[in-house]
Amino acid sequence: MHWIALPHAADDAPQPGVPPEACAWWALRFSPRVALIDEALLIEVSTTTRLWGGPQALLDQLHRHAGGTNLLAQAPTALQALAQLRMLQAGRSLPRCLPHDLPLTTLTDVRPHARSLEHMGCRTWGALRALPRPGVARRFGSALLRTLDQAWGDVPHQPRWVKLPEAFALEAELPALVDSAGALVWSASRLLQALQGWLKGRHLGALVLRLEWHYHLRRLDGIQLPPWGGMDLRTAEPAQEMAHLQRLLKERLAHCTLAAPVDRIALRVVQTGPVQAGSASLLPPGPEEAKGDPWHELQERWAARLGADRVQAVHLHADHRPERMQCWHPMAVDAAPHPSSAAMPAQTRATDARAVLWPAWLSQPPQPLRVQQHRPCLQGPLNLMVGPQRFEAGWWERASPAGAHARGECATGLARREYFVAHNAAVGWVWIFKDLLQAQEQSAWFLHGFYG
Amino acid sequence: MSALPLFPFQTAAASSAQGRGVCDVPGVWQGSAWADTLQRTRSSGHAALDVQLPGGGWPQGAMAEVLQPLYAVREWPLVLPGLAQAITEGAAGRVVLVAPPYEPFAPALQAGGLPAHRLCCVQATAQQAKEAAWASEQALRCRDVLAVLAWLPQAQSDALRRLQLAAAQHGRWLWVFRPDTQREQSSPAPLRLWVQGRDAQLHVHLIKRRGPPLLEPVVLPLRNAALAAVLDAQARRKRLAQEDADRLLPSRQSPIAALRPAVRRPDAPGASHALDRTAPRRG
Repeated sequence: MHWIALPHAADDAPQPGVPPEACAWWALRFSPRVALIDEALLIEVSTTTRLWGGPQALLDQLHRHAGGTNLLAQAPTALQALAQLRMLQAGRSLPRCLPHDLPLTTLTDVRPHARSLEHMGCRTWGALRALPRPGVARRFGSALLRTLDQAWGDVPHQPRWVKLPEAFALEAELPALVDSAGALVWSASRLLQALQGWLKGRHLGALVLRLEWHYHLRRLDGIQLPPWGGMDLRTAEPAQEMAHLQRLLKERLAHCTLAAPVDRIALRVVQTGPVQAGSASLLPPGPEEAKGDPWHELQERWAARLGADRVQAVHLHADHRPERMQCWHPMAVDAAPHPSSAAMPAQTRATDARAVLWPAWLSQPPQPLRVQQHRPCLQGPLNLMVGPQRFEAGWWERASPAGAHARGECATGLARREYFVAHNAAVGWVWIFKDLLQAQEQSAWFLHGFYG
Repeated sequence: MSALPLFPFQTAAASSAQGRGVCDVPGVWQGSAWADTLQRTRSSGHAALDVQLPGGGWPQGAMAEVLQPLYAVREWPLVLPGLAQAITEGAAGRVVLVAPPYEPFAPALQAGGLPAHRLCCVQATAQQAKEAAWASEQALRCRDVLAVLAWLPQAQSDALRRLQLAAAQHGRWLWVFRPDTQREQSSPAPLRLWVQGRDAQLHVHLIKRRGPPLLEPVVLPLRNAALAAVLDAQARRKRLAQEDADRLLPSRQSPIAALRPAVRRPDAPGASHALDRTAPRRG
């Protein structure tokens, strides 16, 4: 048996609502046997030391995860480790002969009797053990003897092991009433830390989280309020590192408004997925090695701050109408391939004869041009340089409201146009078309693209 | 007392320069020489521009600021060949457009060598200059991004500085397009270009680069070769039609009489018109 005792992190930041066990979840990734005894976190690592690469490597890992604390004690039994940790915390050096010379005050169960024992000249564990057992049992109770035996390792010690709950759901009381959503971030990040421990213990990654907040008021301005408000937080890949989720949460909360002051928040995991541990490379990364965040994180961060519809990807369609050739649509994180995107493979596009005349920019929707003396004008008359390129398409469709600008009263999506490359000194090279369906009217010319 | 040297570095450099004739202190270069080409670059696809760019191409991990007149959208002829070349050479990653002024026409870009599925567009209105700068910076920090093209007409200097830092840390291509009214202002970009269009040509002034100043602009074609050929063909056709019309013009008063010389018969100029001949008698 090999026990490691660490100071418990919960004592410096009391978080009402979060069970103290939640602060020990992180340790479950090192060993399945973790216990909380008084103010310390105890981990039994004799079965997992080899897995972590030896005792020293394991201690280094624990140091890193314990949040910067250097205090750490190891001993063959839990109570010895705890006693050593208490000595270290008090700033005292460890006695030479362990565990004989450990002071009696380091054992919790002995503390009530420490004074009377001291009067008898009995100050250390070894001195207490040397006393006759029947007399000690009569005077101080058998519990003291049992603790001493457990501390020595003579009888088995079965502390209450820390267990991970099946589902993650935590509630936390807020230290004060909060009326702006941004102020929830700090409290929520504490819950996210607990979540990270839970996820690591279960080797899972979070896919969907739900953050809820409890309103302090039942009704506000005569309007009945629901008891809870909340929002969902989604990510594409199962996430175990909280930095990304925390950033998403911050952006989302910045756009949220609370209906009433909030006194409690709750965090639930709705959906999890198995997470793949990345294997580290043996070689140091070269300069060509890509570093940075993965694409889906970037996309989610954009979407959280700017709105999902502002991040767009494009699909190409086989069509003659330029506005239908491409479709800029909000980029979905787990994008299924668009049904018609397969209609036009990239190879045929590159060799398309029409591609010669395509401009790099579209003016969408097409901008009507003034006509002077039968010539289209855009900051001066335009010279038609190339054209016409004529097509008739879309008769098979119903008119869409977005396309109604150029099609007038036409009931179908029919488009008959003649495209020209036009030029004048003021605007440079542009792509314009003449709508043949409106040819009899005055405004039949439209600007549809720029060459630069 | 004035015996204390005011510029110790300068005197040290001067003494070493005197000693060896050439200043070879690391990190110090002469005005007429290129800076250390530690910067990784990729070819811009324009041979004329590659010669003048430090390191022989667009810098990876540094901001290239492109200044052009407002509403003159000449980015793609400048940038697209380099991107297409990088993609054909197997560069992975996406091309992110932040706050483009118009809708990019993806089929045309694909025909130019930039596949549509590599494109990603982040829309931002002109009022959201800060958001656009933020989105560009986030994109630079992503490992699946090949290049960022940002239109930031109103970005402040500190935002540009952050962008330059992010690009330098992560080694991405970054072009920032700004109006040429910002030409006089200082900028953290190590490479600044001022683009002017003249007819069918693109005059690129390198107003800032890590190297000797360039007084003459670099001249690039504004349109790709295929479109230029089509335009030439159309122009030639028009010119011929015009010549025909000119030949018609002096004798417009008697069009029937003028018909005969106007019809071009390169094969037999002296032969009479077919209508003048009598039909061959049937035997």
